[in-house]
Amino acid sequence: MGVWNRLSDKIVSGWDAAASLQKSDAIDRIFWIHFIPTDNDVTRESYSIRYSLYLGTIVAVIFTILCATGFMQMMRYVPSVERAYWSVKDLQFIYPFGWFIRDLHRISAYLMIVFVVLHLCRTFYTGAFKKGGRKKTNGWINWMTGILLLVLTLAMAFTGYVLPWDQVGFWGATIGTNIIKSIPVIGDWLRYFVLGGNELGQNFLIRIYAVHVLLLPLLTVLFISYHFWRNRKDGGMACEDNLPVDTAQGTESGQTVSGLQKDEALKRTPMFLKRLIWVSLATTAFAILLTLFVSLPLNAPANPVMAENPAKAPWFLLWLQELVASTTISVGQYRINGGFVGGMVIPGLLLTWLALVPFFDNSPPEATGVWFHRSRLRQNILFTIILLAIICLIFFTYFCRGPNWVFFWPWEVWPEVH
Amino acid sequence: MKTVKRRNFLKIFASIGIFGTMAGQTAYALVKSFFPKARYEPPQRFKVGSAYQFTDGPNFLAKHRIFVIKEGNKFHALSSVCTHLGCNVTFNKLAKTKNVTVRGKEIEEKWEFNCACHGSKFYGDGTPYTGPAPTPLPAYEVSVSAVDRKLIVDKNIVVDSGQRFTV
Ligand code: FES
Repeated sequence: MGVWNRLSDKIVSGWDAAASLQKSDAIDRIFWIHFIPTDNDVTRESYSIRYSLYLGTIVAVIFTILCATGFMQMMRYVPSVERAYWSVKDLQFIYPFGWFIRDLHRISAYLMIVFVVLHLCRTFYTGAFKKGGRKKTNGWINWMTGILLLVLTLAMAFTGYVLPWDQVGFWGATIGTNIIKSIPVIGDWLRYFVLGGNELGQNFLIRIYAVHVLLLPLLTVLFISYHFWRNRKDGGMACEDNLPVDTAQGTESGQTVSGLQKDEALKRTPMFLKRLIWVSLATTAFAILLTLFVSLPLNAPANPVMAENPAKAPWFLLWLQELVASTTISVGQYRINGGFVGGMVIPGLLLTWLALVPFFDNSPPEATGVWFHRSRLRQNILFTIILLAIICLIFFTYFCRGPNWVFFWPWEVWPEVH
Repeated sequence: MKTVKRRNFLKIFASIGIFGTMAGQTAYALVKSFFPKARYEPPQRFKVGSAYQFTDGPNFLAKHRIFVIKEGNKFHALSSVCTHLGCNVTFNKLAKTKNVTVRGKEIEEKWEFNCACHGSKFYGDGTPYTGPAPTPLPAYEVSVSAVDRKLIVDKNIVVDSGQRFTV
């Protein structure tokens, strides 16, 4: 069982069971303190807002808000095809402050996507997945975990907007499940498996509900915890890598890795804690303010025979919608559905490329944890182009697609349809 | 090269066999449990009504998501589910008839089908001509019930779009 041992060693690399037991500070074994560095291996640089922008922390705070508001909504929502829409409507209009819970949940979901992407950008532009000068670092594991969390975030957003069973949710789910169907060979079977039938109905709604409220958040909590923990075991933020390190993890001489005296370093914990509290409060306040000033009206109830015209997905999926609408291609006598090309192949390739980036990066160790290092110029440009393309597609589809998916300038008036 | 003793080989073989079977059964049951044995959905083969109840041209049946198309005493049925990603296509009566060549044949058409979701357009016989839809709207078999002379559409049987059922 050598493979298994090697694999499990990799997953917890950097963690030494014996040393952990022997550690003199008891608090080090407490879960929360484990996340917040009390060890003597933290530098001022890794607290710096300028470096990390605290984006990961912000995402974690938003996720907490989502869990709380989600739980509140679970007590009012009925996952049934007949009643789902009306229970959401009740939540919005009948329960005092129900609108606030619902809108805060939705705004936070949007914010979570935005900040997850920003966090991805930060990590990419600073090359934080690199090994740098450290020996016992596996930055790529956390990079991959991060990509998984990005996928989980989008999956939660998608399943979440199906639940109200309104026009947008219903037709979004129709298109989503037909993208599954467009996979060659296994597509039909897979769609049947997901739907529990041939049509979108009760079986599908309750599955999506269970996945949205339990499976996905649970996985997210697990992977966020692992993400934090890995970061600690990798020796904290990647930015330390550029400091001259002589003593490897050793604190015997009273010197810390960062070259500070032990006591001096320990005093830092309150500073970090203070920052965490400030970031959490600011994020929460921001989300609440947005909720108060941005109104997100409820759609019309689902009409299974008539989609809205144009039927647009929520903004974070618009780029995919534009792709599936324009990538149907002919190969010889075969026509390949754009749903497969634009909805599966292209996003799949993008994710694969992202996941493999750490392995093809051959910039020098000095480029680790530095914003826009010269040696990574080409990667950064490629990344920026892809990101801008996606953002442009979103704006294009939002403003320039009218009834029957015809191109209109944003200032043109759409003709009457239906 | 490392040699494997017969006893060890058999041990490995047996444990893979036993645990493999257990895992396989679990996986099978798990996947299978997601497929209900009965579906509360409209059936795939159903009666759509008597011939005289239909008006000339496409008649949309929302429950089954098909068009029953009447041309005099000839009938055929087309799916209303867009072959791109499953939105519902609507029919569009043309102000004046249009002659188009579809798959080498010249046909005269009085209506066309449009999909709102990503702008696919279909000729009167269901063949797509613009937009992302990759294949034609399928035509389903039409027959008549021997009992009450009502028309029957069977979604399990896809027929050529040129086929007509005469009453
Ligand atoms: S679903 Fe009809 S064009 Fe996409």
